[in-house]
Amino acid sequence: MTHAGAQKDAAGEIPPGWSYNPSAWHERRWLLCLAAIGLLAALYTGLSQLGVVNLWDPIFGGASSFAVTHSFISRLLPVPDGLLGVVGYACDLIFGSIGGDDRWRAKPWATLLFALTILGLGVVSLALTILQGTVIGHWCSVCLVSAAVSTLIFGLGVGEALATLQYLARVRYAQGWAQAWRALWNVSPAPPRTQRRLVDRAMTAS
Amino acid sequence: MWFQVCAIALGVWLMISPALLPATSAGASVDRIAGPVVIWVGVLALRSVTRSFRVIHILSGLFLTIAPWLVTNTIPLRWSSVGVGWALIVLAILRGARRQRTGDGWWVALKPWRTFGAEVKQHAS
Repeated sequence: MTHAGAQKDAAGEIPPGWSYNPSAWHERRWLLCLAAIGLLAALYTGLSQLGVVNLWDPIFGGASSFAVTHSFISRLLPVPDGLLGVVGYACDLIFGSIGGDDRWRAKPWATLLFALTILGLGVVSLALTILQGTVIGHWCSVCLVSAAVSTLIFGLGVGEALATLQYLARVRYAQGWAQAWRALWNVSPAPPRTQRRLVDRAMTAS
Repeated sequence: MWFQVCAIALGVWLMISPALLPATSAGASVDRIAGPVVIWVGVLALRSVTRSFRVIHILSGLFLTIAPWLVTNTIPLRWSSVGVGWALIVLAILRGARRQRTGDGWWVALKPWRTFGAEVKQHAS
């Protein structure tokens, strides 16, 4: 409520020029459900890489899954990549659930962190899927489920970042980079105009 | 949206066709590189807000119309790849209906004056 566009906030939390609110809970809850599925798939993969469980694979067979999850690519990092996926999806769940319906302007940092997280998961999933088919030459059902989930979360969820980018761009254009930086972290004081309007409203109400 | 559903279906076909048609290793790799990319971009371009990212299909389409000729390949898989490539170029050009309004496009973050000029000056004054 602190920056340009404050007048339109009264008509719900829909960003100016939009026909819907991309931060609304009913937009985000499907993404969070998908992230929970992804978390479970990544946890299952990670546990199989640690040797705790055997990965179930009804389509390609356990041996094919084993070849994927124990390939040299999965061991490039000191931690099994399945466990890194767990961390990724956990960040996804955290950044996706922060804030309310107005978070595209009230918590721009959360929206942008969420977008970066889902972009990272989406790109890594894409790369791993290509590597499964070309370099490794085997497939893994659970890994493909995780990749599909990441792709859906990124493709369907990244639009929220545009509302935030438009908001920050507007603040920057109206009030400069410094105010835009403060708006990103939502620490900006209300501009005098808004304060006056709030005071006026309070006066007339009382 | 429905054009992108078609693109996703083509991407799935790219991923399974090397297993269904006679294929060489290199020819299969062409499809298995493009397939995930096509599905990824198709899902991204499903919604109105990110619809414009379907232009990436043109790159996938060019790859699929050229690369199958440069590697050892079987005739069915080559024509499957090339056909999908041309279809993707068409699907990248078709816009489809815009179901939701989302302000202005993604360039707005870099060039806000093009969108917000009048409105913002009013607020800022």
